Amino acid sequence: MGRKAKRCAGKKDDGREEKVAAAPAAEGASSSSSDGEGAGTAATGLPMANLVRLMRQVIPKGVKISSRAKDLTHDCAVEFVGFLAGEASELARAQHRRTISPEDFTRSLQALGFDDYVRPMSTYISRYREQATSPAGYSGGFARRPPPRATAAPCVSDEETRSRVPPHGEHGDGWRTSVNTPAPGGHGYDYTSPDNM
Amino acid sequence: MDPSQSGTPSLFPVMDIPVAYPPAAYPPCEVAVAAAAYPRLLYAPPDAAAAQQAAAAQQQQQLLGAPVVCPPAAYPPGEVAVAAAAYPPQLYAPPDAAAAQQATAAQQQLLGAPVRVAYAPPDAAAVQQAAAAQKHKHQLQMLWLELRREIEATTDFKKHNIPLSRIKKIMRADPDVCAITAEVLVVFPWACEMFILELTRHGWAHAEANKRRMLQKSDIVAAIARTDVFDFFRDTVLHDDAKEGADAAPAAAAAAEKAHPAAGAPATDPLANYPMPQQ
Repeated sequence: MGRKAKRCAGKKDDGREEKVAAAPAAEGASSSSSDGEGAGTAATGLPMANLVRLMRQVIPKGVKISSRAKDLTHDCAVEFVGFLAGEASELARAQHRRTISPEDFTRSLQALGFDDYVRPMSTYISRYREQATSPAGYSGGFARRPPPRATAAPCVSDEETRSRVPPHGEHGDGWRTSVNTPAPGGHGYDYTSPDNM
Repeated sequence: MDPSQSGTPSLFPVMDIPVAYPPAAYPPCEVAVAAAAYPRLLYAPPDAAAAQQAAAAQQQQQLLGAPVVCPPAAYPPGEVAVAAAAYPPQLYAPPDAAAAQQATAAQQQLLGAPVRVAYAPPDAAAVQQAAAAQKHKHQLQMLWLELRREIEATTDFKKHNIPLSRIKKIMRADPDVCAITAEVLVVFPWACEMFILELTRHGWAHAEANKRRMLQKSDIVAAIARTDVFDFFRDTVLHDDAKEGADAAPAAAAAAEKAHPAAGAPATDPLANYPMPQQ
């Protein structure tokens, strides 16, 4: 019973996320106004459970973490992601490209001083490319995650688009990520950007 | 008869040899002595005393001859004087003042360096801090190694500690961010995870220095202040401090602080997620 209630709570959170996706401008304003509220932070930030689990990995067992420390770490992590994305975007624009490439990402890490992160990230990117290239990688796919490479049949991609992303979300995705940038209607999940080749 | 006949021709050449020398070196009496000596050799052994005398005479002649002949041919007086004069300057030349100063300076340099090193007083606090910093750095490197192994061992590229949807929303909040490829999108959770681990580790180092068993906000703030890479987070920290300043109820804050650790004590995912809707 308790578990079911918790799952319902999670679903409600997902609903809130959908609302956020539906109205980006209004949500932006509300998020800026309600920056201090927990609900706003939860909606626009990262899940606290994952954050706390990660924090406990590097501290000895039995050490407690104050809620304010968790909140501050959460805010720093959110700002870190935004900062990285902004820097990578600037690097991409400097080279007259509209899509962030892995090279831009690694260069942004170096520019910001996180040299220790570059090597693991490069390793992961190369292994991800190998996995994307292999045909076996495409067979295994979760409903929540987009497939690693584009599908040949447009009807299949349309069906996947309808089942996974709502109309408003689709438009939002098309405006920000490369999922729908090349062909909004046709290849919904064409992750290989022509700029990279 | 045969031995006497063979003896006669041998005596003749012997007689000729001394005849050639007498005018220069040997007087006639000596020649007679020499001539008399030979028959004795042929007919009887010579006397030991006479032989010794002859040898001594020869030696005396050799000794007398050498000094008389050598000086005029090999060592003229002038050269000898020059050779004799050459030795005193080398033996009696005093050392140069400049050279002495250079030697003294070299010695001082050699002696000075170890003296400075030896006399540097070691600071106990500095030594401890250096040791703690090295330990912390070592732990961080071990953390990176473990994370790298984890990344290399990853076989399921669709499982992340931080969901991609949240990353996307954070990026959408910034209108200046360009479109992003799938490769970069899947890497952001890992970068975020590394950042959280590093920040928490630095904060824990500060808490450990203060001998506390609870990670507090001041530890995170100190970690951000001490690390140059985290400069761009100081605005966030100041903003949070301003919000805290705006709060007029420190007692309520203290109560919240006390309540949250109790909630966090179980460290269970559902319990951690449960308070979210209530807030």
